[in-house]
Amino acid sequence: MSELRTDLERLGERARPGQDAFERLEHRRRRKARNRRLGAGILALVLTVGGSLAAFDAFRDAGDGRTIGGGGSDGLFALWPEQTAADLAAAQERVDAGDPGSAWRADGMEVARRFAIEVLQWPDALVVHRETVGPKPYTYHFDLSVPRDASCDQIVSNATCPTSPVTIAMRSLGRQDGVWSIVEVYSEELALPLVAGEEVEGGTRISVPTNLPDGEKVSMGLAFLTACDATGIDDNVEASNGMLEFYVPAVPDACTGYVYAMLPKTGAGAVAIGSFLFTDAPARPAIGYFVEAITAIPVRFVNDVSAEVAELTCDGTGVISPSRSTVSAQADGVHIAITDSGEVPVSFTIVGAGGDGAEPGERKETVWQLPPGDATIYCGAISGGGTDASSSANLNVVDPNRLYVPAGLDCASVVGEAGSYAEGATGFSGDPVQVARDHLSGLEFDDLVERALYPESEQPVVRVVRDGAVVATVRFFDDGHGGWLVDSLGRCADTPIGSSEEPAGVSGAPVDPGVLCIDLQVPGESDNIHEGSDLHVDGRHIDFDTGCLVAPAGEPLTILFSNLDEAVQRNISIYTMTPCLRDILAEGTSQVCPPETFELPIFRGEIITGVSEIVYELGPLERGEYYFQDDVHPAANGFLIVG
Amino acid sequence: MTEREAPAPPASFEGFFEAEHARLLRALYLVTGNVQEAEELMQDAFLAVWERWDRVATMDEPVGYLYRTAMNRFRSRLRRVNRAARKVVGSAAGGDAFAAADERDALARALATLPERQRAALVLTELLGYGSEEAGRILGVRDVTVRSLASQARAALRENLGGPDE
Repeated sequence: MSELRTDLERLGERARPGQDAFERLEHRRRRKARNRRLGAGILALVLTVGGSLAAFDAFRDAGDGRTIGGGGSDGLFALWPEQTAADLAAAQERVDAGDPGSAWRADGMEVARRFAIEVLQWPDALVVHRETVGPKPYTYHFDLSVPRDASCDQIVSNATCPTSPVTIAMRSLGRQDGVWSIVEVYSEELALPLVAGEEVEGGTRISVPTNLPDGEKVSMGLAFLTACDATGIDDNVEASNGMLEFYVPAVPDACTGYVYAMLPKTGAGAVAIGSFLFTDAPARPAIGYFVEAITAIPVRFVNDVSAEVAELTCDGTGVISPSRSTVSAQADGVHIAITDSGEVPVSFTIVGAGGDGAEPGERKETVWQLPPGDATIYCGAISGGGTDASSSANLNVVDPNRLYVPAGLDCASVVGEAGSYAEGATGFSGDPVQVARDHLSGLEFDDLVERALYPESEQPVVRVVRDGAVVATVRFFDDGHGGWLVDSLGRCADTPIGSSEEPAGVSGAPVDPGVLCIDLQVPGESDNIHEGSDLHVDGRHIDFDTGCLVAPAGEPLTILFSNLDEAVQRNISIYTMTPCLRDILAEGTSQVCPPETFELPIFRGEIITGVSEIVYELGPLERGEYYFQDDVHPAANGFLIVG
Repeated sequence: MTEREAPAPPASFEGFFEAEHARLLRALYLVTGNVQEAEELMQDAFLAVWERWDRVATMDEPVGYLYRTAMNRFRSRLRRVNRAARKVVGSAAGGDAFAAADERDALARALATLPERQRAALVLTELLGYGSEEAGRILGVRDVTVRSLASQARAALRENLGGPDE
């Protein structure tokens, strides 16, 4: 068990459930049901008085912000027969007025049977009560199944009827004796991890446990029930390792709709019918089909968190959609998926980055090193002579985790060179940053060598920062055996940095600790250099007994720190050397370095109080200069030379 | 990486609650930094599972379903908080975490500095022993994102706690 895990468990122990945890859960459940009941009562009253649609706002559940019966101004969280508050109110009015054609809406069993025939397209249905959940207003669950003597052959040739039941949850969303609405539909083998009214984010995945065998395809997608100015999405998802994975692309924010997973049996192969299954859309395909298994949950879609993959569709006729979207950068870059929805191959261009193509029906996901901000993507038919400049989409790249590190050179005149290798050439193994440190000539001690662009980009890019300016970048490529070869090197014209087959080391400031420390230390203390891999530092009079530590590179180090100041807090921390810190040490000034100088110590020593000792253990350090200080009394500081 | 114990099939919802609620509460506390909020989220998740217990009980991984539900609730809450904060102050002020926790506890203070998503990734992978793929399913993100978030969290904790460099 790791130390961190042990620490987390210890901290987690602060949250101890009470002995009555289950009783409180039951109480919460009752309270939630009562809220629904109150909401229903209020709705019924208001509908009776004026039929006002605003009454559906009364369904808001104070418990968790979800709405159960009504979806606020957007409508209901219900699937069938109505999906909007207006339609539900109208249905209730028709029933109350004695409309014989609407009488079935007040009969739950008949609503269930009609659902099986009209939506699932079954020849007939047996309706069996499964369970009642609630207190009032109860939610009734019914199992629907096809009668044994029914034939599905009339719908789809040579097809056997479904053998597993489809379960529906029904509730009277208005007054208690009001019309019935189907609020959820589910099949055992397609268990969407959602509940009615839940928020579903664009750009996330929905993982569905399933008992279906690997390779079996399921129709999954989403549909919008309110006027969201968007079309539904139908996808074919393959079961793999007991799981179905559905990616929710960017969706209009705050739209109400449903997510579904379905096994339709059709007479025409794969067909997209899920996104208008519960509506009376005239666009429903005029083909024979019935539903074998289905789960559908009404939800609210939200889109204030950007997607991990920008999903764009290009049909090769000058249309790329959506015209504007937002994507969140990932550790390896910005993921963009282009789906060719047309009948010809398309090519797309990301301005300033490059391009690719997709075949009809293909979804091509590629990763780009785009900086945060706006990007423009063009797309068009390849047969049309390339991308169509009139068809473009704007992509807003956001980087909430601040992963992106710029790689642009901060100089007016730039020189570049490309690597050239014989076939089978092997590169340098290890971390690309270390490879750069070892094989770039012309580096100086103060140079910051670090990963640029995105930290897990397939082609690593390392940059060299000197005095706050990027002066060189090197791009590597994989030699196929885990080694890195230099693909290209760019540098400022006045900065003589190059690549070297042999370890190059650093140039510039000398590493001779005797010279460095004698030069920089206060006269009279120059003999006070502590050297070795087991260092001992005394802290006395709010200072250290040395301003210069010298240690070997690549070995674990220990520092025995003896605090000799009574009742005073002291420690030793080690930081990356910067020109500002060097000035402080060299000139003894008390200038203030930028706050970021101290944000990321290489090692932060535990603070000890009063006369006591502590042994700090440090991992191996790379060759170079470092700065150490007492964080409580930063005027106590010095050089750590590792060489 | 720690291995998770194979979950025993739950016999009843009450038994499932008894077996899992303390662990879920601890995990949510570490993610939210607030005991009351963790308990609210825990109750929400169990209520959702209870409403469909007949189906959840037959799943291979009912515990995974519970955690997915809990993390969905957690993310929904985050969005609401951020939206509310934007409306009030024009930016997503986070408020919170472990702010009222014991000031003497370095780990609590260090966790409080992490973004919620990093905390969630850390708790799922480090404390609960989920692999990055399963943790990704629970959080609704890709496995590479989980690895990145957990790695950032560990690095930040190392910095804040003064642990050894790797």
